[in-house]
Amino acid sequence: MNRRLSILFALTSILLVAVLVSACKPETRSSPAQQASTATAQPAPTATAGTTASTSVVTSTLNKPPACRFNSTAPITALQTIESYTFSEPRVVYTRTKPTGLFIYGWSPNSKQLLIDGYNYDSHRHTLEVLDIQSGIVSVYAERKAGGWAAWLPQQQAVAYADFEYLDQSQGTYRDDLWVSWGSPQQAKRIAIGADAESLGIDPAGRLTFFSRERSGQPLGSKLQQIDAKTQVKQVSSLDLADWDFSNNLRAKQDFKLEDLRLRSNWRPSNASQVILNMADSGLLLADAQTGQICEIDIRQQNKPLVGSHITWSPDGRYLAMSTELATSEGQPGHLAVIDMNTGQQFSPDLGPGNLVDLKWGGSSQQIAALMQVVANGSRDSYRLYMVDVRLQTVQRVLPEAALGGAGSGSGEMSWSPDGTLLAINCPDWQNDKVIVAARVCLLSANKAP
Amino acid sequence: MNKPKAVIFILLVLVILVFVSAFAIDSHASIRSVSAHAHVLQTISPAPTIPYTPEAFIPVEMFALNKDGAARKAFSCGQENSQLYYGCTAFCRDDDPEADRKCHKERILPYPYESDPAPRVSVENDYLPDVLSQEMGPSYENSALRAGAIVMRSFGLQQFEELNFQGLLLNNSTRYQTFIPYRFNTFNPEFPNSTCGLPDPLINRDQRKICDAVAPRYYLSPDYNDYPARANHIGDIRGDTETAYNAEGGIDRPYLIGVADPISFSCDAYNANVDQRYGTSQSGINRWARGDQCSLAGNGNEPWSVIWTRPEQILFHYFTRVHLRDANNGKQIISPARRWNPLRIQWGTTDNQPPVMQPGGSYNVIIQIQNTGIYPWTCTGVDGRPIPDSRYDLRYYWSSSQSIGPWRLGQGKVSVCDIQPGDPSPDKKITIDDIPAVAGQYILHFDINDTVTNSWFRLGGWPAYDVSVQVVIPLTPTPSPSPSPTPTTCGNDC
Repeated sequence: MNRRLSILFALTSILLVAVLVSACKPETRSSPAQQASTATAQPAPTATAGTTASTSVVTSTLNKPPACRFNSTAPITALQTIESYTFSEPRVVYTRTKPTGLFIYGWSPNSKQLLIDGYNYDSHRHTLEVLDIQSGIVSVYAERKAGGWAAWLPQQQAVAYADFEYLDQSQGTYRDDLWVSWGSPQQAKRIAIGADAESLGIDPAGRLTFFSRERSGQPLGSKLQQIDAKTQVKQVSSLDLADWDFSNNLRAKQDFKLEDLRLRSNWRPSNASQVILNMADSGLLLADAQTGQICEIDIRQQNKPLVGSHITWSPDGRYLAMSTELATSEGQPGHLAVIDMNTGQQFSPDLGPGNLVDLKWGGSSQQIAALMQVVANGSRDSYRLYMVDVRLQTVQRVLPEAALGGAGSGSGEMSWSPDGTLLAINCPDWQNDKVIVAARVCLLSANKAP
Repeated sequence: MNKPKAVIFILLVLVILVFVSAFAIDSHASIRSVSAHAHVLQTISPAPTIPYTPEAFIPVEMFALNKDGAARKAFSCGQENSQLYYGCTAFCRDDDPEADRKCHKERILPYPYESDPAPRVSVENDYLPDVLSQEMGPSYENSALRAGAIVMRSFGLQQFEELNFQGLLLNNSTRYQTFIPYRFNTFNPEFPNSTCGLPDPLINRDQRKICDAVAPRYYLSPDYNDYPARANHIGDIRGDTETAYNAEGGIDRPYLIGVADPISFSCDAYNANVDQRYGTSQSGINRWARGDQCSLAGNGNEPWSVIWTRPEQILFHYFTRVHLRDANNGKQIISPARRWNPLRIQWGTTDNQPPVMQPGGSYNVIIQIQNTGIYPWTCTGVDGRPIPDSRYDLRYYWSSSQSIGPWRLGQGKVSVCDIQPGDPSPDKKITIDDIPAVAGQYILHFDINDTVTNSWFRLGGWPAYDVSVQVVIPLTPTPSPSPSPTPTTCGNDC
C-alpha cells in the first residue's frame, strides 16, 4: 500500500466512523406532552332529567334527548369541610388458596361485612360470600355459574345477584335471571327471568331494576322494570327508551339501533327517581324513572366526545366519577373524570401512566380512591393507589411500597366502607411474580387527619 | 504514514466500527443503519443470519383482559376460573362489569383451548382473523384491512421471533396486539365456529372482508434481511409519526423512522399513546385508504387531496425502506425498490379537486411527494462522471378513459432530487398546459422518471398515481346575426 493510498483509506475510515457515531448518538426525546386533563362540558348539563318538563311524548315523532342542564354555577371547589386521610399498613383479613381471584363487591351498610366473589375449584362454580371482618367468618350466600353483577339489599338483609341459564350449552345460548339470597344457597330464589344482567341496579328505595331480555341475541326490552325482592311485586316504570330517538345524540353513532342497545344503570343516591343510563359509545343519559324524561350528559376532552365507564355516584349524589376514554378509540387507558352534577363542572386529575381499573368513593363524598394498573413486561403488573380530593382537586399516592391490587377483576379490586374508616383491597400472594398462590383481602385503616 | 502504522490504524478503525455497529444495528443482523435526519447509508459487513422460516403456528400466552385490553395476569385463560372471561373468549361472561361490557352477548362460549395457558395457534386461520377483527374490523376500507393484515402478520411473527430468542412468550393483550378467540365470529354469531375457508352464509360479508385481507400471506421485511419487520401499530397518532429510539437513545429500527403524515392533523386524529408515536396507526391507515382526514365515515367527512387504493402505498409510507415478501412463495420480494407516493396535491380549486380543464389553458399544480422506496433520489454526480441537471423528474402522461389509445407524455415536469427514503419533498409545482384538444374524460398518470436512464418507476413495478380530469371545449362565441327587429305592439314609440 503506498502512502497516498493509506492516507486516503484512513480518511475514508475516519469519515465512516464519524457517520456511524452520529447515527448512534442519543437523540433528545421531547418529553411526552401532558394530556389535557380538563374537559369542558359543552351545553350546561343538568342536575335534573326533567329538563323539558312539559314535553309530552308523541309516538309518531320521537324526542331527541336534550343536553342536560345544571342548576347552579357554584364551582366544584366550593369549600366544605376539608378532609384528608392517612392509611395504615395493609392487614390481611382473608386468604383463599388455589389460583383464583377475588372480586370485592362492597360493604354492608354497617361497615362490618364484605360481599366477595371467588371461584370454587371444588364445586366448579363461583361462590358469593359474606365475610365478617371482625370474626373472619365467611358465609356462602350463593353459588352460580359465573361472576357478574351482585349487590347488597340493605332493606332485605339479603344479596341480589345475576346468574344465567344455558338454553343450549353446545351453542352457548343463554338467558339471564335475577336471584336473591337471604343467607345461604338454599335460601336463594330466582325472582325475575330474563333480566338483562348488565342493566341491573338497585334504586334508593331498595327495588331491583332492570331491562328485560328474553334470551341472548334478542333485543333489550325498552321499558325499565322495578321489582321488590320481598314481595316480588313487579312494575313497569314510566321510562320507556322507545319513546326517544337516540340516532342523533351527541355521540352521533350513525348506525344506532334500539334493539342493539346495551346499557348499565346507576341510581342517584339523593334522588329516588334519577338514574344514569350508560350506553357506552352511544351516550350517557340521565333519566327520570317517574317522569320518563331523559337528558344527555356531554363529556368531552378538547371538544372530542368521551365515553364513560366505572360510573359511580358520590354517596351524597352530587358528583359522578368515572373513567373516560375517547369515543373514537378502542382499548385505550381510561382517565379519571369527576362531574359536579350541580354545576356541570368537570375535573380530570392526572394520575400518571397506567389504566384506571377501579375507583371508589369515600363516605363523605370528598375523596375517591383510584387504583391504577401499570403494565409490566413479563412479570406481574404494578398497581398504584391514589387518593383524589374532588373539592381541593389534589392527588396523593397512598402506600407506594405496598403490593396492592391485581387479584380482583377490574372494578372489584377494592371497596371503601360507608363509614369511611376502612378500605378493603385485594392484596394477593404472588409466587415468582407470575402466579397467584393465594387471593387475599387486606384492610387499610383510613384515619382522618385532625 | 508508513506501512505498519497504516495497517495498525486501519485495524483500529475496524475495531471501532465493529464496536459501534454492535449497538447501532438491528437485532436480526442488520447490514445497514440510518440516521433519523440525514438517512445516511452506511455499509456494514453482514453478520451471519439463521435462515428464516415464517411460522405457521405460534404460541400465545393467553390472559383475561381488562376493558383497556391490558392482561389481567392473575387470570390465565388456562385456569378453570378464567375461561369465560373477556380476553379468553369474545363470547364471554366476566366478573368485572366493565370488562363484561366488552363481551359479545349473543352467546357464552368458553375459552377454546381448554387448559392450555399458551396454545400454539394457527397464524393464518385463527390468530390473524381474530387480531384484525379486534384491531380494525370490517368498518375499515378493504385496502386498509389488507395493509393492516400485513402489518399485524409482520408484527406478530417478529415479536414471536424476538421473544422466543429471549425465552419469553407473546401474549394476547394490547401489549402486543389483541387476540381474543371468537372475535372474528362475533360478526356472524349465528355460526360461532366458522372460519375463513367456509362458504357463504357461514361467512358473511363482514367476515369476508377480513378473510380477503388476511388471505395473501405477505409480510414486511427490512431491506437488509428476510426477517419480519417489527411493524408497530397503535390506534391512532395525531400528526407526523416519530422515530423509535432504543434504550440507549439510538435509532431502534431503521424502518421505524418518523414520517410526515399530513392527513392525520384534523378531524378525529388523536394520540392513543403519547409514548408510542412510531410505526403506523390503524386510523392513519384508514384515512389514506379513504382519502379523508376522518378515519371513519361516522366521525366526519374532510376529504383529502389524494387517496391510496393499494395497501403497498400505505405500508411503504409508514415503514421506511422495507420490502413486501410472500411467505407462501419462498419469501420472495414482491415489491419494487423504486417507489413514491403523493402526499398532498393542491389543485388551486376551492374544493381542491382537479379543475375542469380547457385546451389552451394552463394549470399549476402544487404537489408534495414522498420517497417510499429503498434508495435515495440522489442527483449529484459520482466520481468523475458529469453531474446531470436532474436524475429524477415528476412527470405525467395523458390517457383517455374512453379509449385504449397510447399514453401521451405531458410536457410539464419538475425535479424531485435529493429526497431520502421516507422523506417528503418540498412542495413542487408542475404546470399542466398541454390539455388535449378533444373534450372528454381523461386520466393524468403521474410518474417519476429517472432521466439518466430514462426509466419510469411504473415500468419497474410501481404503478403511476392516476387522477381523473375532465376536458371541455369552451363554447366559442359565434358571431350572432343582428337581431331582427322584434315586432312590438308599440312600434317605434317604445
